[in-house]
Amino acid sequence: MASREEILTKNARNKIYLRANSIRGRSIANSKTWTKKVLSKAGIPVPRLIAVFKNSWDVDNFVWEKIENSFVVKPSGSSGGEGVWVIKKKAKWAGEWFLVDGTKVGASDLRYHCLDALQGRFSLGGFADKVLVEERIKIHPKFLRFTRTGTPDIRVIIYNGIPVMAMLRIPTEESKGKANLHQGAIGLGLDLATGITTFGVHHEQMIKRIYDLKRKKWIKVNGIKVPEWKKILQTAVECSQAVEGLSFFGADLFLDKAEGPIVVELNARPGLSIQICNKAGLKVRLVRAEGLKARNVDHAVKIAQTLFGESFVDKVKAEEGIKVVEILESVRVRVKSGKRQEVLAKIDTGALRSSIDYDLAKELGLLDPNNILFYRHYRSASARMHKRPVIALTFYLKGRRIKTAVNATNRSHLNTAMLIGRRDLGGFLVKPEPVNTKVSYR
Amino acid sequence: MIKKMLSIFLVFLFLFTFPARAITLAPEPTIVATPTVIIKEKITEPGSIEAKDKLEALLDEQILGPLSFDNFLKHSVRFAVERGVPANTIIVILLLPLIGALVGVIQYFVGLPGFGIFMPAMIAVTFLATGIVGGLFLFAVILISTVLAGKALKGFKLFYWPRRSITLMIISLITFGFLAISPSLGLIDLTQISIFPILFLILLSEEFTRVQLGKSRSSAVSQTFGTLIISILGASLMNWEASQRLVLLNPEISFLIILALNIFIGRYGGWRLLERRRFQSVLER
Repeated sequence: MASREEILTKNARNKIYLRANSIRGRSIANSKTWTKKVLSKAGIPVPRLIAVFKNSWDVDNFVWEKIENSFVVKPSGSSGGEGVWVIKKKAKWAGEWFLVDGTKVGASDLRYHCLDALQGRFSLGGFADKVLVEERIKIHPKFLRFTRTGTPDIRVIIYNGIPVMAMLRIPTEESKGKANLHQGAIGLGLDLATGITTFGVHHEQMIKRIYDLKRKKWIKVNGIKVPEWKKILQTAVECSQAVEGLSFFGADLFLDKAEGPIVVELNARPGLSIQICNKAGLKVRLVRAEGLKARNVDHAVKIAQTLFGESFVDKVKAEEGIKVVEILESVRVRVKSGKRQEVLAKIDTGALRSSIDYDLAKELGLLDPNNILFYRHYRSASARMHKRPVIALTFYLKGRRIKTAVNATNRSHLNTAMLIGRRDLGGFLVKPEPVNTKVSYR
Repeated sequence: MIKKMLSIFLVFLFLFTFPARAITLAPEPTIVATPTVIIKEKITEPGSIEAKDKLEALLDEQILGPLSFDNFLKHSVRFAVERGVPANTIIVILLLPLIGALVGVIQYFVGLPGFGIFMPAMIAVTFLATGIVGGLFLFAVILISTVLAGKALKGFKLFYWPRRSITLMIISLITFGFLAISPSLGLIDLTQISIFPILFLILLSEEFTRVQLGKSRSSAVSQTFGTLIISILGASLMNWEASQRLVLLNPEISFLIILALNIFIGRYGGWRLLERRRFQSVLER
């Protein structure tokens, strides 16, 4: 689906990581304790902290039995889920617990593990580390059919304050309840517009099916909807505003049934397998997001949904068959109030992006600053620089809803107030009639 | 970090205590039971007269102009040799940066992770002394004992450093046993190898355990694999007569080549060889 130039490779990722993230930003993301502090200060929900161990004294003095529910032990400086223990519940006797994979551990095991982590066994470069004990977020009921071992999370890659790609990560037996792909978790690509899964990856290989524990059979990986999608994207964008100096990162969010999205950690060097389960290249999206200026959180989410959302053309084609459009078609444009305005549009496969008349867009209230995704600069025939707004627009053509980004240009001297380019013509067949469009218009 | 410092210390010991080592550690040819054994030419052994002569003869052939900006290194090489520094030592020192560049090539062009620069550099020097096949064999023995030690210690709940220390102890014992029986088995003539290469191999296997304990078995395997590839390449390059000539006769040019290579790697933002396979499914329609 993607071409070679569109894919973000490790070398290119490391370059962006170095360029876009300041030293402070990287340090915050690399330390789970620091991230937690910064995020909760900004009012972003994070898992409740039970304890932080800074030295062996703290570990020795901690009474594990007083923890009521299930919990997670995490080395602060580890990456890729290393050294993370997910404790499911208390075992029969006090001072014993079950890990999510069914192993029984005692308080001495926990203590030993924490001391090991404090000495830097899991941290980068083997430096002394801190250890966090925090509450375990319960698996959202929606995801219970895919895993019982650990909580699935949603990884959203943010660049320049705009979500560019996302995936749902489902822990497996093999990954011991952890959602890291390197540990053997399954990744499902997510459409940014809707939060619906597209493709899947396991061990860097594309997968077609995933086991449904409730229906006890293998089902397709696509078409699973993540609840509270908009809220998830908003929370991820808020993280980029909260952590100064972090421009390129992956935010990992849990979805709690009662509290909504909760940010677990930020990763300044997110893994690249997300491209496999989205069947899309990150690099091309990063280039697109590069110069954009989001006005606020909602605006950033809107930009992401419009620019990076899937069109699902193939799926629609399969369901409804190909629809035929003529050169002139009447489309219905959705106005801000939710009403639909009929507009005459020219179908033009010579243009890439659709455009709408500037004055008409203004009249319909589409030029609201929050609806303008970005400005495109172009040079006209008279060598003057122009700024052309690109706006989010939803219109209906032959009964199909098309959510897209269109140019707002001056079309007052033209016959049609709107032009539909080939980006929005997937699944349509253009019939070149009437031949003389001018005559027919009059 | 302590380990790294120790490694640096060992490299220095290795490189600068040649005269002392030749007396105390290098095997005495007179004690060897079979005097007919031909001592192989080794550039890490200052005692191998043949190699030394050949390299110094090369230097003598070269005619140097007056000291200027483009031949000051040549002059320093000559000066050092005249003062008694062995030519093969100079080659090893001057070719070390090349191994650094190789680490970059393997990591950024191929995509195999390694254990940093020191480890491959040390093992390359080790391979020079033991020969590549012999070195790999020795390493296999040491690695197997490391894995066994790790397995044996799994049941005991020991802290990190003591566990590593015990692992090291077990490796030392097995290596010692191997050294003791190797002459009678006639596998490789380990008695010809000085202690430092063996120490380096022990350190590599120790590094292997560290990664295996902290991360996973698979990453430890791939890192060890990458390190060995770099070491084998590095050892071959150091043993290659053309590169020896280049670095000894034209040290300035060899340094410029390595510098250019490093700058190129440092700015390379493209695909790694192993990434082609990784992202193949994304490229397919």
